[in-house]
Amino acid sequence: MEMLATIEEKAAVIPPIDAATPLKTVTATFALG
Amino acid sequence: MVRTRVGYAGGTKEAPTYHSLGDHTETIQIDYDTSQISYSDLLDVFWRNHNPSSRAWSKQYMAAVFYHDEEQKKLAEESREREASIRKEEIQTKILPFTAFYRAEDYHQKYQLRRERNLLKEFERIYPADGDLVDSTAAARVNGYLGGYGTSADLETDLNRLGLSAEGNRYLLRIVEYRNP
Repeated sequence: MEMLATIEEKAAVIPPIDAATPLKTVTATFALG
Repeated sequence: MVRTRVGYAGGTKEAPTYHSLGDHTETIQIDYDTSQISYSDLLDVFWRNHNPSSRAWSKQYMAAVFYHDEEQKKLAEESREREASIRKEEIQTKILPFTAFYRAEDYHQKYQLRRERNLLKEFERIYPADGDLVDSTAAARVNGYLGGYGTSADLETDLNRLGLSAEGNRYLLRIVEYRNP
């Protein structure tokens, strides 16, 4: 329960842009020298 | 762009660190939403932001694309050929298979944001665990604005979605209006 409450609190303050983050993403890796 | 992180890749050393890098290269890893941007778009940004004809002084600072699958390999190699024909000079940038990525130490992540203590404190309140801050889209976005990318008009559309306080918003907007009007 304690863990759930923590997650809930975190969800309440999470920036909206992060809340809207798509779950499915593609990864790219670069080195720029 | 959903998430960004800097780290080490391309080498064989297990668990490299900045001071014990072994044969790895400093890299940036990006998670992106394919409905918003394509791998080809990212490759364009990559080629525009380094000099592919300069020879690397060391493996730590070489330029490379680490492809994650056959499609990325094909697109990266095609873009390299295009670049060579435009520049008419030998391209030093490597196209290599991705093997493993080791996240760099926290103090290397979101470098511009870490230099702005007030804004950093706000994000640290939202993300008490450093790893969560690194994975935050909002933190990545603010880091980019602080680095001089994006205009103040772009920021105004993003501002209320970043999770900053009214004071944080004003502070960030003032910096961006000054640096990238």
